[in-house]
Amino acid sequence: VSTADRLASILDSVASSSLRRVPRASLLELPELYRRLVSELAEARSRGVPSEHLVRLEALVVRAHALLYAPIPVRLGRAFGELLIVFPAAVRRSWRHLALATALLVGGCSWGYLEVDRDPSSAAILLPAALQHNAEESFRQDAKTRDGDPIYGVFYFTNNARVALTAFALGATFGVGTVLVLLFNGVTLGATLAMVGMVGSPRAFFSFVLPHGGLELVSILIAAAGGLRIAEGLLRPGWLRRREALLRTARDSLPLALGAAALLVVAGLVEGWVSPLRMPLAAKGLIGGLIDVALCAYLVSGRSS
Amino acid sequence: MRSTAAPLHEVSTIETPEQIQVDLALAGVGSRGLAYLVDLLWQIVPVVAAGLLAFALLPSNVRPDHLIETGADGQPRPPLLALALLSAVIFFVNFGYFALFEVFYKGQSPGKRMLGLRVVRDGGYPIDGRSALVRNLLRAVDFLPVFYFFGMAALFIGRSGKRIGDYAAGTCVVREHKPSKVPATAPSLTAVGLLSMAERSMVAEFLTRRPGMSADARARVGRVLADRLAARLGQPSPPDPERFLEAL
Repeated sequence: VSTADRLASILDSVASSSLRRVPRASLLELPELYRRLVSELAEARSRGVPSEHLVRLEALVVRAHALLYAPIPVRLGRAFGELLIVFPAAVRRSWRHLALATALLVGGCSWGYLEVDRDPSSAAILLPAALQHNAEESFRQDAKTRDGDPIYGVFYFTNNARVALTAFALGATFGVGTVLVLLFNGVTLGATLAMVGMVGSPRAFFSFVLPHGGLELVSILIAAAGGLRIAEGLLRPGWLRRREALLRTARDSLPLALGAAALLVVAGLVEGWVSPLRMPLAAKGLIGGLIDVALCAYLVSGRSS
Repeated sequence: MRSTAAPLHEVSTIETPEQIQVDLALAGVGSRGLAYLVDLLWQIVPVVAAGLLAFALLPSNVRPDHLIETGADGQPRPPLLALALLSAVIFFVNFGYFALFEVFYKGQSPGKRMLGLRVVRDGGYPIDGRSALVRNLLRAVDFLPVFYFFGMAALFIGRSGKRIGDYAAGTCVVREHKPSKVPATAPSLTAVGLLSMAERSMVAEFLTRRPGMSADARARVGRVLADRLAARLGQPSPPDPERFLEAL
């Protein structure tokens, strides 16, 4: 039996069942067969054998190569564990981007607040239609009438995670998209704060927002910082070609996006369960404070890279 | 000497650690678009299923025209569980469908499998988790400003089988080699064993020298050679002598 046929039959059996069911002996044969096939292909090319034969050998080389150099299979649990370990270090390494993201959000927020404070009718433009629609009610609501079903956490999570992951990905637009997302959300936040101050009940508002607010905002900012890292790679690639810089920064900053999404699961749970509870404002503030301290402790912990 | 005919499509030449170069056929905009449409259909299935389930969960006293349930306190209450389920399913299909399939099915979403495409890392290596996540998170950028305009522009301009997400992840989409059909007149391997060394080298000699022969001589020699060997192997005279000899 020729090298090519033997290799093909092993590859076929791997493809049709799974690696585990193929006899060990056949698998151990693979590297040797593969190397022999590579030299056969090289020889066949120099001799000029019929093209069908060459094509067959090439296809086999590609298939065997893919199997022999396969990455370690992904285990979701282990991958998540690794993410928890590398995340704090990745955030610390991106502190400049995190600072810039924060500045953009705070800038948008201040402008939105001042604008609505100066001219309340501008809220009609600055706030999303959905929020405006029941603006009167939602800003006047106090914690008592707010629906406290924990299932709301699902909506909070999907909305926030969508914003966070989009802010990350838009880094590849040279940062334009990420900056816009940050400014836009900042303005919405500022305009909302101004409306709450004017027509709503700040007590009720903060009672709802304090437990989860810090965690939620920081998570989104971390994902956006990842986007800004990608943008920096594109704008200032240094000695790299831009496509190489994109490749490097995108892979490097992926933990920022994934870690942020994981934190937003926690934020969604808190927002769904704890935030609507009827409690004194101080207790809510305390819960929020503890969560924020825990977050900070996590982010400064762990190995350095 | 490299492969014979000029390729009909873009290729990416990889070099394995054993220092041999092999061409991978890159997928074009058309096949990738088709694969995407197939995947789009597959993505709609779980969303519709969740939608139907959500509808089934609604209590029967709900009037479907506004889907608002009235709570015990007389306040209107949206069918929360149903909507939460729907929004979770949409989120996970949106962000998880491609990444999970590409990680756990060796670079192939159902649409890519149907069209014979596969995502590989640069250099022909199988895709890993990080690449799959990066290329599919950046899908959002390829989608801008309308229906994958950026992604298609990148495919046309770059000519390397990559949309923006592929550049970021270091991946490209290749066409799987389809095993070509064995010619009908192919002799079995045991049959080849029946031929003598001299006969085999005669075939090899003919095949290497035929590009230099006149068309007339080439056809004649090929015919004679093929008929003689076919007779020796106990097979009928082959319709296409050269293919028969190549198969040998």
